[in-house]
Amino acid sequence: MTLAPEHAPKMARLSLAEKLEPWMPLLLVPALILAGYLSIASPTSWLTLTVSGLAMGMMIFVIASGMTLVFGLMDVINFGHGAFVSFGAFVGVSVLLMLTAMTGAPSLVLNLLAVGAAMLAAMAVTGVMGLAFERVIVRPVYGSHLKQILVTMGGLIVAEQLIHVIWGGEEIFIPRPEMLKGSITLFGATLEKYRLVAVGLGLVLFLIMRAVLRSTKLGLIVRAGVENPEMVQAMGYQIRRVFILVFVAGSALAGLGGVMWGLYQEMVTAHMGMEIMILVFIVVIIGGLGSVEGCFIGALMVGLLQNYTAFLEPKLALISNIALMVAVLMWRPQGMMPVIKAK
Amino acid sequence: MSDPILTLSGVKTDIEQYNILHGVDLEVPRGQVTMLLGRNGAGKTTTLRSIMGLWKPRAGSIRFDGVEIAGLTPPQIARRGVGFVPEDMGIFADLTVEENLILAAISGPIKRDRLDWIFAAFPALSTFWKMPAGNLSGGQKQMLAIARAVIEKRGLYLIDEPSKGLAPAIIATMARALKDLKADGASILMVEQNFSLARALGDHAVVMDDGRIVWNGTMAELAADTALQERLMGLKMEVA
Repeated sequence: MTLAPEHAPKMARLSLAEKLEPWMPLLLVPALILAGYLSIASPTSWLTLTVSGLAMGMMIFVIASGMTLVFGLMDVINFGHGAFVSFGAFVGVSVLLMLTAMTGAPSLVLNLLAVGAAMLAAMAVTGVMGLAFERVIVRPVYGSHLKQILVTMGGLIVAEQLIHVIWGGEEIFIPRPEMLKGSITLFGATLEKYRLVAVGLGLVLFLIMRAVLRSTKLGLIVRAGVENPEMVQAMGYQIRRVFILVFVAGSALAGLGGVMWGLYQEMVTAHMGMEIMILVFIVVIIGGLGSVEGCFIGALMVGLLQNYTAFLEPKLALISNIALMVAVLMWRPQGMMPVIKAK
Repeated sequence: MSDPILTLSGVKTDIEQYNILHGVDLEVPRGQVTMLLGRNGAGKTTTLRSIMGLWKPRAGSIRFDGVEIAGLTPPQIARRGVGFVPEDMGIFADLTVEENLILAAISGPIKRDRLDWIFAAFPALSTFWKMPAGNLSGGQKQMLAIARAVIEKRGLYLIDEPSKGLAPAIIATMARALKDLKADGASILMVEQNFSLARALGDHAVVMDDGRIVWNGTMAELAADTALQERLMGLKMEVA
């Protein structure tokens, strides 16, 4: 590498606070876990709540990650994202109900295969749904946020009614596969097996998503498109095709999140997607619109805070996440890790 | 003018309810630098953006290398060989210098000889190769914007005010790089307010006013006639 030219800026020595500033959002998760440890008298309860919070956060992340990219890339507010969560959950449950021989067997491999099949089916169906949703509902309202809110909300209602038509109006209870039932004991704390699986799966998905975004040309196009879609087009890339791909992938991930959430609750309802969307919106906003990393950190914080406050002060749990959003936005009005948008 | 690489005929472009271009007729000779000059608001940037397909012309014809491109999308135009450096540079601030250039190389991996040329012209880009582009200085961002356009050989470069807001030392670096590009036989249509730079680089000059071409000739003719400069551009040019 050559030396910097004369006009290169002199790099000022940064103070410790300035050095830490960009990493502050990353430190918030361990800080919150530490605060939980200091606030909760029993270490075993703290460990149980922490795993539960991380599991919840990972599931919210899986659902929210596609939405934040869709917003960042094409400035589309999709209130219908919850429809993919509900649809995915119902498709997944239907598959699991067909595979009771596998889910009921005392074999972890067979159980995971059944769950994997349910997740793949949910992703396939919601991916196709996403493609249709983008073509029919979203495409005519590009550039108008008000119309997007109204029409995607309408799409969500239609999807919910469609679930009633296909699966009936009642909720469906779904027992977890045999080997994912119950819990293990670690350092005296009771940890539900399924929550550990959810944490692991969520982490793997995050790492895959990060690798795709950071290490592939498609990822570069998506990241650049979130920042300045016009320039990406002027460089020769069809940003619309990329957007459709991201929309479909985001819908499929929401469907996957629906299956994970359904198994977490052991019950699916047509309006479960709409219910979880409040948390999803909080995560997308505090993470910074268009930022997958911010979304990940925000989701973990929401999950952890919800579990800690529900244990310490149950009434506070109702407003804890709204309070978190207010606090984050007062600190960083554009979210924790905002993508710098072109003017 | 024989075999121009770009020809605009009667191009009219509107932005919302405003008529910005009122019928632009323009030819860009192959392998030469054409400077697009004029007052602020004359329609220079709109002309470049109309060529690039970023704003769709309401009427008129734009032919690039003998092919009509007026109805094409920006990616289609870019892939036909038009490189674009916008006025705001269009740098992807969250991406590193390296990632910005990888993205700009649309037909495959970056070619070593192009990268060597870029590093020779803009050494700062090699120094800050792994740094997010948002952390670069204004001048370095402009270098990166030009480097992105030239990372692959294009038929035509559209460059919008490369010297805007830059210090004289950086303008000199920029000028050297653009002269190298010119010497390599590149066809360039460049908007520029800095007349010294325009005079140093331009073979031809086209002056716009109120969305039309009002003068067309060689740069030497325009540079030699200060009265003409004052009349066409409304400003007494400081010729260094």
